[in-house]
Amino acid sequence: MILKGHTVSPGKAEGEAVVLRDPFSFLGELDPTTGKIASPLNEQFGEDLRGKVLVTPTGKGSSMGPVISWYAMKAGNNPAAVICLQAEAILASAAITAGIPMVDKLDKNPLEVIKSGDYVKVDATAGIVEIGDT
Amino acid sequence: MILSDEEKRMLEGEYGPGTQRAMAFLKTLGEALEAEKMVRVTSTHILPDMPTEYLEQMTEGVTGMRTMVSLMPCFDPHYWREKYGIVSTDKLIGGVGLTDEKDYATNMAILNQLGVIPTFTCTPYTVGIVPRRNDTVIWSGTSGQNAANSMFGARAPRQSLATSVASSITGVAPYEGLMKPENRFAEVQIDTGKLDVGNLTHADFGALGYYIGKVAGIRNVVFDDLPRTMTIEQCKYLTSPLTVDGACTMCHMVGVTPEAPTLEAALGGKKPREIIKVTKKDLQAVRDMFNTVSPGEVQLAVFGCPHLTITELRELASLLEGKRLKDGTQITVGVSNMTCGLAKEAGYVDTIEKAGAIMTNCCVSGQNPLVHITGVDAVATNSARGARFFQTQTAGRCRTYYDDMKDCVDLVTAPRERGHR
Repeated sequence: MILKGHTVSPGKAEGEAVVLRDPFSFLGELDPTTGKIASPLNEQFGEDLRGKVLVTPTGKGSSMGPVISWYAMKAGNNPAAVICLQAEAILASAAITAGIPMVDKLDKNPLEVIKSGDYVKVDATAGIVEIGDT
Repeated sequence: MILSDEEKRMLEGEYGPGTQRAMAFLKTLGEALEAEKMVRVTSTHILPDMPTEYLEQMTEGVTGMRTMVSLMPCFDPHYWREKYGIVSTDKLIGGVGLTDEKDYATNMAILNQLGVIPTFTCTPYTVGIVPRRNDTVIWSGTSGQNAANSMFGARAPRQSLATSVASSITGVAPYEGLMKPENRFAEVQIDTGKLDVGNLTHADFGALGYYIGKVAGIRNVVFDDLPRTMTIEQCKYLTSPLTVDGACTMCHMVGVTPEAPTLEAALGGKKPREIIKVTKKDLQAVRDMFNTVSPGEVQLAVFGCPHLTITELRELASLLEGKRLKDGTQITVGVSNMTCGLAKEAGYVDTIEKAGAIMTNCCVSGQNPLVHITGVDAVATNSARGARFFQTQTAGRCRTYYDDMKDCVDLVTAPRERGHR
């Protein structure tokens, strides 16, 4: 399946999807030293986001997100790409600062059509997402 | 996105590589957020202990900031080693702040040279940086953003540290989000009819703010039935947790927020998309979430998330008069240097320190050295924002007790015996 959307942070990446039902904040949710979900209140506490395609409704939380994505970038612990319904400024900043390809405003709801574990290719520059064998 | 000639010159590298990187970032971000242009900003507020390599890249060739820039609080590794002998073995404190003295000194040298104002506070409005209605401010620190919008009527979009750094260097930011009048109206109306709003304590306001932030998400909200006499402190405890697990950055308090003289004005003449009723049960659920340690286990009480006002310091001094810390406990007080100076003049600091509490300019919410370095894992706080940060930024290691300042003080203090100094 191919989805078309809008560029938030340019670049290309691919990997296994991790779908989060709640909005995401780099500060508090991602441990930059391990790449795992750090918040014990997150249902997916401990899940490894390294090299994964993160699917989330939008951003939330602290304005320090880009600091975490920067450190995670230096340690090689960032998600490979981010897909969201609609970007907000802090999640977008974190992706742009760390060079993480990111798209939003897709023509189908990514939270409904992408399942955790699906293999997803993201061409954020072109605003295209490819799910599974297409 | 349309750039002015000057902005194009920045993008083309005429003012050096740092300015070029800053403008390239803002242009990419502006296009992501579908902004049609850049606008001038009145002030910016940035984090001093950002990654040194990042700061060096962004300021390469920059000879001065293009707007008034002030500083967030941070952990100063030199201060904590010299004064309290606390040294971190981790590279970062609270997941964000620098612990390397050399890197910290490098950052401060760069920022001082660029004329940044060393406010060291998350509440710039307590140290004279008070935005006027319709000023455009790009402040790091989502509690400050919320205060700027909701208390002062400034145009403070939800933006990141990276944006505030880039806007400091270029003097502009993408015209988007809460900068636009049409995006500032409330969509969600909060019905607090089931609460006794005239008697809510600061901890109640914090629980209310956290709950609303979580259910409102990124939408603007309006409270119609809060007292019109809301104090700065009540507004602070209500608005600062809205962005902890949410992104609500515009909270209209009818009769308090400058652009919300009436409910109709706050809603822009439209009907609310949703009305959320809040009950005591909702507030209790938040309190339960932030009360994960029994009172007897508390090792540390933390105040100052966001930084205390002079009024709160007076209250704290009054609570600590004639008290001492119980064995094995501590209190840290987060405050700006400027407010601390005023509190010294007033004699409050003397009373607070006599009880054994530590005055600190560190960002107590995320970078408290006693929690992150010395391993304290049972903290009482009067801040919903702080409680949540302690839980998440220690990956659950730190358990919290959440109540008003007086209750937290009572947990860790006892009357000072006669003759005890």
